[in-house]
Amino acid sequence: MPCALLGDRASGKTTFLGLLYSAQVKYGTGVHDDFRFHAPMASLNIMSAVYEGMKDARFPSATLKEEITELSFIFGYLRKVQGKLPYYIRQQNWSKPFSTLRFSAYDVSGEDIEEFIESGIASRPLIQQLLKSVVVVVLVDCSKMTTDIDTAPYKKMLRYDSTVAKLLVAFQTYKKQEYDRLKDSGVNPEAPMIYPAFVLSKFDTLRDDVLARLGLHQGFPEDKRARKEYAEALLRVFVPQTLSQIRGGKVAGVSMDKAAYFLSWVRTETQEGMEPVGQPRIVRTGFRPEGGGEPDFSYDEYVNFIEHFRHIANKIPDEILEAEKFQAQSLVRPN
Amino acid sequence: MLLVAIVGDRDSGKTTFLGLLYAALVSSGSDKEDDLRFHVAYESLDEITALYQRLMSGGFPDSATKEGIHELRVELGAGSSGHGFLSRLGSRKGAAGASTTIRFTLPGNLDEAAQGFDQGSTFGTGPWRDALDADVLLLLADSTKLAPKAEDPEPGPMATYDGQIDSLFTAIRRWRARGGRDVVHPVFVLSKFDSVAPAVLSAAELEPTPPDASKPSPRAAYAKALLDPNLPRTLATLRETGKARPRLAEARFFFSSVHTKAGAPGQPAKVKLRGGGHGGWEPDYSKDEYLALLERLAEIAAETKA
Repeated sequence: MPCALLGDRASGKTTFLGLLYSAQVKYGTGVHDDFRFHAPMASLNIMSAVYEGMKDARFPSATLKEEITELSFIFGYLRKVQGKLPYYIRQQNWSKPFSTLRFSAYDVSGEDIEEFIESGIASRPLIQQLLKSVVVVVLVDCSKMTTDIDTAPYKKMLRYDSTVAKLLVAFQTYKKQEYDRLKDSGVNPEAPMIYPAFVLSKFDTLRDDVLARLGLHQGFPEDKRARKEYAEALLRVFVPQTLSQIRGGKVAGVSMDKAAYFLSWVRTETQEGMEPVGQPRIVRTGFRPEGGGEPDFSYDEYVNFIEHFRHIANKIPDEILEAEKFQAQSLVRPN
Repeated sequence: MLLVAIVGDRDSGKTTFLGLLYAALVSSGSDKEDDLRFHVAYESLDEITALYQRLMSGGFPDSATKEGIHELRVELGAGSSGHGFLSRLGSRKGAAGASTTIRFTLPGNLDEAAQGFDQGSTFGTGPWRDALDADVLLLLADSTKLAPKAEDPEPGPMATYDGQIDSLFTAIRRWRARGGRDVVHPVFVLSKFDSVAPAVLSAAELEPTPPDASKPSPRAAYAKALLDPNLPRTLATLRETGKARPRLAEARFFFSSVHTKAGAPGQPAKVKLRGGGHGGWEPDYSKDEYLALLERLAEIAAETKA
């Protein structure tokens, strides 16, 4: 299942992926053993470099960021029934204990996608793959949220809202075109659906005056409904075009109603009364029995994010799973 | 699909009107209240988002923006409850999930095409073809050019525009004499209404605020009192009850205003932004008028479908 990750320049895309990898490592080695993941060599090389850097208190370097065009992980979720079976049966391959899905994140420009929608020709093969995404993860940089209308961040956020709205409509348009094409060719496809996931990145930088103006309290709520309301209160103000296109997806025949919201933060070193000089450094946790020396970040949110895909995996239309299976088989088939 | 042609004089505020219409859509479409949902066609997005950004940054459309924007295609949907203000989109039994496509088109300045209309050009292609084919003719009347009723026979500031609208109606009748849509719905938008001269209002013995959009008759009387001395030929055409095709439906009237603030010395005025209901910002404009207009368009779309 391809997953598109959309984010503005410096919105924290690579950091998000690095922290996701960190969370996967920790969650996948937990005592519950109901989540496992695998990364192809190319992705592993990059992510382990990012991970190493973060464990050394460094944010991803610009050089590393440039190397990323596609990153993929295979998530494996222990099936519910399997969890109840004895350990030695679970370990048998024939029992297929884990349901798997591929999480791929692409870094492509909006222009590339527009070119494909308008001309039907993709100069980069990734584009077509990207538009097949069922999950669209949108990073919204909280450090650019300001109510001061004469500032550069306000204008940047306006521009970002337009960009994301356009990209989402591009996804909708592609899905609808594909749906109509399948229907015309006699296939009975399921109604197209996109699962948007918003990640409020750099949440710790959200300014108090912004929260006060919006009537929001500090800290993200726990309750699912309250989380949605909290996040949407922010999005309605800072990315209204994006939100309106998500809500209007059904009108276009591509439902995008099931949006999920997550937040991301990573603590950085500060010295009281002093402005940080140079690159900020990541605060690391102390060593404990369950692990340590890791970035101090919103781990629970990342676990929620990973778990979110478990639910989506059960809802993916059959034709997409079939297409994925076919693609996987063609990759292993010798020429 | 409902085709709406936005027609106006030079600098009457056509592009600003379209931008504010989109702002009203975004504001309501992102709202938790499930009254209105919309989807913008991919082809329209580049230009309309650029225009929106400009208005939200306090700028009026510049010449490049005006040149670039020609249409806005939106799909309007009634909320899932079917009780929203666009509920008329659906059947009488309930409108949940009902939707309609509206294509707003900006053919250009009327003075550029009026001569062609007079000479009997057919405009078989090009942007003005949309105006000839439109279901709705959205006619902008720049309120800053409204003049009080005068005794002397000198033509007023809107006399030329009046003649051009008349030529457009003639061209539409000629174009659709043998086919095409049966009805044209004229909708007048009095743009820049916050800048109407007080003398014009007092000469017509009118209050500064027009009657509510929910009262179409008093509102029409109000608007006609202002437009009659300025667009007499146009209003006379609307009163004609002959059997000529297409039939002209009863005209509706809306009032657009956007408050401005002075720009830096030597710079043009800027759009004033106000705090929106959710803590953000939005242009200080007559949002309710735009929502009422959208509601009216949804009504027309439902009538056209029936």
